[in-house]
Amino acid sequence: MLNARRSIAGLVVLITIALLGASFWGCVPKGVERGESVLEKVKREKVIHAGYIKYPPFVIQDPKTRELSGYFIDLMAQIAELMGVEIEYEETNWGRMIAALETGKVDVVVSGIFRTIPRAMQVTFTKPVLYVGISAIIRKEDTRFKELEDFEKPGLTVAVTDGEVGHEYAKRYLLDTKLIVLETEDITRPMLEVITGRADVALGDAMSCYRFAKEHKESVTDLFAGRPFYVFGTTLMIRRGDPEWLDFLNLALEFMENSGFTDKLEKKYKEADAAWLSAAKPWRTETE
Amino acid sequence: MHYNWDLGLLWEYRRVFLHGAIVTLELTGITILFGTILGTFLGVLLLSRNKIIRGIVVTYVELLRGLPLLVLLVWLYYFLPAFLNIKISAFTTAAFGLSINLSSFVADVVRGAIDGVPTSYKDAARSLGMSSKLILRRIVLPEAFRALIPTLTALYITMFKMSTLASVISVWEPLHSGNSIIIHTYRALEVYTGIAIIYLIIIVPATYFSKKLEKSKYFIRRV
Repeated sequence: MLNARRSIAGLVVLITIALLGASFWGCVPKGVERGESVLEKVKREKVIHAGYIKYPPFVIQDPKTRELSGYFIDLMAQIAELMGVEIEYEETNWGRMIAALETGKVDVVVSGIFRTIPRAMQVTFTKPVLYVGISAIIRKEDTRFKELEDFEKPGLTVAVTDGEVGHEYAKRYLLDTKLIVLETEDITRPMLEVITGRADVALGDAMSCYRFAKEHKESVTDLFAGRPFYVFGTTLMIRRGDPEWLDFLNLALEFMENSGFTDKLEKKYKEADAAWLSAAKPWRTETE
Repeated sequence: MHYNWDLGLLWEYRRVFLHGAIVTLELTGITILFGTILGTFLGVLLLSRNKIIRGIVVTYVELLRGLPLLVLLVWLYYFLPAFLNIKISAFTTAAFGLSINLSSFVADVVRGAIDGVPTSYKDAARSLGMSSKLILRRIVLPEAFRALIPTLTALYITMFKMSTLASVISVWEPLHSGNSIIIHTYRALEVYTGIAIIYLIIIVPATYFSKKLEKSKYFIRRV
């Protein structure tokens, strides 16, 4: 009796798995005809489905009104306006952004996304729009750290966010330190480990370190403020295998730079001592 | 530890926290409603004499009980729109995922409760000439329900706490709303304190009510 029940249950599980497998087999992302570029789909539907990840000042979302603003939001709005299309945003996060692209839920991910090698093996990036590096948060009274080499002393505890650039750096170069790897969406968690004394150093992107240190200046110091290390090009992210969409976005970004629009965005969003580095233009005017 | 608390932030963002609390209550309410209806139906089917029906329901229950809720939510969020072309919001996905997860637990509890109804009750009803369906509706289910309530209440409270997992698919419940404040203000400890307060305000009375129910004489089966 029990065996019969198990056999039936097993059979149903197998059928379910087979059906799911069959539905995955040979499928193409939503809304895109087989072999069609996202650019064609956008032209036809007059809408770009974009995923956003909050990352001020690149993507800012007011918690009270949920209104979006920021460097990349303004940039995309300008591109969409020139294309004559709308943008429909939906939220994603660092962990889900690749799945959102691969399943066709979004056509582009808009945030300050670092062009890293592990990510580039799965997705494609447009040309860098600006550059962001890594910095470190230490306790204000801690005098042990001045330079990067000081992190290589054995016995130190370093806090990082799982999969983030600080984590990649620590795995490669800080071999004698004890790592606290936090699996979280909250980018301030490694920095809280430093404040609470569980870690000596928190590594993170220079932008977040800068803003955290500014908010908690009585407790911590942003050690590499204005001189980040391990610098990454930061830009938009799209699915692999769509050269037309990539080509179009690269051209659009180039136009935004050459038309002076990105300079306006820098003035609007870059604070005086902010931790991002501007991309050099491939040309100069006579007066420069 | 040197940390300058800014608890004024809780007041400044009170509407965001309140909205998060409302969303989580709505999500839990919908989950309880649909999860219980579906779970009760499946619980009855688990006692079916038809092997195929029972096999399908056993598989459903075992699959959903075995699948971590977090994985289920993320999977549904991408699977439904990408491969079945069903366009649903993150909230609906979360409500659906939580409901089918709850239904698998309710089904098992309902099956146990029905099984626990003394045979003498059914025999007495049958001797009065009642049909099987009538016995189920008039005798078995009301009796089982009496035994079920305390267990179900505990299950609902667990489900309320689990609803926080909907934050992974960007449902604006307290944790996700809190994260949006953290990224705006870089004040995590204050925000986590606010989230904890929201859950405590709802959970403490609910747990008290659940304990009262457990002790209530009405819910102790009279044999």
